Amino acid sequence: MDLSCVYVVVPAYNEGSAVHDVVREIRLDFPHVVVVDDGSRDATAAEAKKAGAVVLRHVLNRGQGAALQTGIDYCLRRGADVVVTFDADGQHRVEDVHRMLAALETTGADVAIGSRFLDLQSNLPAARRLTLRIATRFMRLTSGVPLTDAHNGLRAIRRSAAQRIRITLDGMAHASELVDQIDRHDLKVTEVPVVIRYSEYSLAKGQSSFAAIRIAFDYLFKRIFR
Amino acid sequence: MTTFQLVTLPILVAFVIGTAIVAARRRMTPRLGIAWMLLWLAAAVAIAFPELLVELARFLGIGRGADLVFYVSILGTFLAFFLTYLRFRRVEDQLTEIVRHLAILNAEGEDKSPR
Repeated sequence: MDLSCVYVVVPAYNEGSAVHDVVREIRLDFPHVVVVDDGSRDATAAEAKKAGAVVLRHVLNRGQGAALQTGIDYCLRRGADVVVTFDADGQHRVEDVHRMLAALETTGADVAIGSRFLDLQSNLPAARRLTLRIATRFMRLTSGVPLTDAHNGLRAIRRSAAQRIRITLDGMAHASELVDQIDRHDLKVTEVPVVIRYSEYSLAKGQSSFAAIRIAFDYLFKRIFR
Repeated sequence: MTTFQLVTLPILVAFVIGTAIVAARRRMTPRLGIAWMLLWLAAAVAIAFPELLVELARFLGIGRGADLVFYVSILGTFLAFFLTYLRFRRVEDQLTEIVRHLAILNAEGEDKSPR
């Protein structure tokens, strides 16, 4: 696969201390890194630019789902063949992106989604593991796609699929919405085992287990009323 | 006529007239204007003829007219909350569209400008 046609979208909110290294690491392999600075109040945009990313700046904080859709829109306009989504806090590994792109090629899937449960190397804290297990069960109940990891930020989406997907849930519930749309548009999805590097930083920046309830509410509200 | 009626009835009549003027000036849709006027009128009728309200309450199996008013206003308030919430989310979606459009516009503008 031609890596210059792969665009890596990194949604970032107040990630000034992490985003520089993350962008630099991706840029070693992928020339096009698009950081969506979601209205950060720190130096996220400047740090990302310094590391060689194209920076899209939300003037107001709109949430990770909104940032992802902005990044996807931009990449499609630039002619991306594959859009990769990658978290800004350093929890993903660039080598896993290569495995996901390879999986797209070999399986002919439209979307590849990372799963931290297919590979047991992730040093997942017990509470996080339990919350994600429940979220995954919930997702399997509400949509027809059998995935093992409900909310993994690492994804690779082919252009044709990215054109059909439209994230409207601005907050964190976008991950479930995405799975729904994969289902609705009959997109072929493949799961790829990935390793999440949990650090004190990524855990502090991540969602609390209580936030899961809020995320579930956002998602259900959307399913019922729109 | 009680003092309460003497005070509230003219105010409600003024509300009806005020709403009619606002609607006539196209500051609200005719349908909305009529809905508000009906609400003021219903309040005026309930205050002017309380025995009508009591009869309606009895018909519905509620003891007092005041209870009926209480229940209906609580329901109305919840409905208003819900509709406001829906509208709020719609405005949020529109806000996101604007923020997104600006972000992409600015990035593409930078691309074209000479370094």
